[in-house]
Amino acid sequence: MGRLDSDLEDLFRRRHGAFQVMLASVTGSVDSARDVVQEAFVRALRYQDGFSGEGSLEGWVWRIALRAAVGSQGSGELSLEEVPEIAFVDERTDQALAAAVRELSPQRRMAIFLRYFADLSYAEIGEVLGIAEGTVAATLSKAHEQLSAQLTKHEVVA
Amino acid sequence: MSTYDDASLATRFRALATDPLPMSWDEVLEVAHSFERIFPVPTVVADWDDVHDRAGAEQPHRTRSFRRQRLVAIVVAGLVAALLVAPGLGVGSRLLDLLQGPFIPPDVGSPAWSPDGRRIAFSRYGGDWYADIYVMNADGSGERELTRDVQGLEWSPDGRQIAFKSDRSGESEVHVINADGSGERQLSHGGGWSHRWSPDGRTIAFESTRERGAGNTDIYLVNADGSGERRLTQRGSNLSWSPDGRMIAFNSKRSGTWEIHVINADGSRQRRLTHNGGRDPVWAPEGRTIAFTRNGRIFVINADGSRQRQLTRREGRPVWSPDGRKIAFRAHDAWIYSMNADGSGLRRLARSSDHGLAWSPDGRNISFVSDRDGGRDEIFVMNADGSGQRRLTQRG
Repeated sequence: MGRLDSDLEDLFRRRHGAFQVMLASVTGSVDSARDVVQEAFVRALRYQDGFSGEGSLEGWVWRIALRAAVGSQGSGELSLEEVPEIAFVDERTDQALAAAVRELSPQRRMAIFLRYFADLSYAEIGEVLGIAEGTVAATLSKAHEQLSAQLTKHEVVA
Repeated sequence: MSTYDDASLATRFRALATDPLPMSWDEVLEVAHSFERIFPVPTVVADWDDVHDRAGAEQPHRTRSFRRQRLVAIVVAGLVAALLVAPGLGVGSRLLDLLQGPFIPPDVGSPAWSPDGRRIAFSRYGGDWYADIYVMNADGSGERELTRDVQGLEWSPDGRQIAFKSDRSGESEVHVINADGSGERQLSHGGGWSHRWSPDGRTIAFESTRERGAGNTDIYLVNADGSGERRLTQRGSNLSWSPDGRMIAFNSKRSGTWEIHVINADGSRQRRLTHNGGRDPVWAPEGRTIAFTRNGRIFVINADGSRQRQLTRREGRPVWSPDGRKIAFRAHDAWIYSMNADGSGLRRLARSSDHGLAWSPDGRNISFVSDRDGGRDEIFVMNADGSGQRRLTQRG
């Protein structure tokens, strides 16, 4: 379909797991996340000329995937306000963390998910969300503080 | 507090995440191809007279998007029927959503200066990744639509024509149109994209997978009048002409890793320049060096393969200034930077929302895309030192 076919295939083979895990936090289940990942790569294949070549291919596919995921829920605009609860987590594994994450603002939650589920660097997160690397660092730092405070509280009580 | 540092949180999040499901690339390809068969993108092209009549008219996208919606409705109806009849078709369960699903592409993009520096062509997107080409004066006045449903525009060196890719024949093909909107014609046959004019304007090089199928890109040449279409080399992409038009640099994975290769434009003397990785070669205007990327970072190498050196630690795609003294790029932090050709004097110029960075032919200005005014992408111009940033396009 185009010049990026093999790059997209590489990316898919390496990272489809990370895409699923992250997107499950947006769609609510790994099943639906799997569909979104497939959809995102189909779109990336078909519309690959829309990739300007500036920035990373992975960042571009993440943006498509997030839009597809959010789009599957409503407006189609990539709106941080629409990042839902982490519905898929098995709360028995880490109830404290799941509860703490739920307290985060959508922006912080999205940044945290991209960091820990998608395993992206600060620069990559900035690219995906369209914000400066410094803003990513600030957002994650505040999220860390908030998580730590919540976890401390919870774990002391527990 | 140290119990909750980055590394320990990473571990806890990893434990929190569920296991991903197995997925197959073949299935992705299959869906993409079946989608292509069912719904070849844009078959709905406005009549040529229609385009001219409505050039400059308000809301040029409305008619097309209504037609598109109607077409989508018909296709969806057909597809639902097909899925009912053949549930085992193997297409993803979200294919319907794929057809209907909103997907917001950039608003404008790909600003390209005419060689005389007086006009800027750019893309304006409707509701999908296919754009309409507009041309405006370099001061932002006199915007008018040239043609619709295309991607990837490039001026001919004499400024009289613009090459672009369109799927209007059912396949992605390279087309050319006169800068006044007349005389559109299809140049490639059998699939073609990522076109680049030769410096003398006589030949267009492009990529195609027509011989070996998806994922196997070869480089082709065609004369600007549409004659003499021929394959230049197998396994190559991201091509760049040498300024004298005698050679073409490209990247290829033929040796196992992505490396920069060079070939004479007559097909003779292929040679590999890099051995430790290289992508996205861009020939310097002075012709002696080639900029490229390795792991996203910008490097340069002499065109004879000697003196390879790294210029940046940041990632970006190099764009040479017309005099070859500077390189601009957009880094992952969404800023446009410029630096001297030896990597010194790195300067942060402007924030850019995504794509489209181009030097004016006199090297004094850089055009770029930003969404700083109200969240919509618009085309801006700044002086090459980052001063005097001003918006050129306006939402109608």
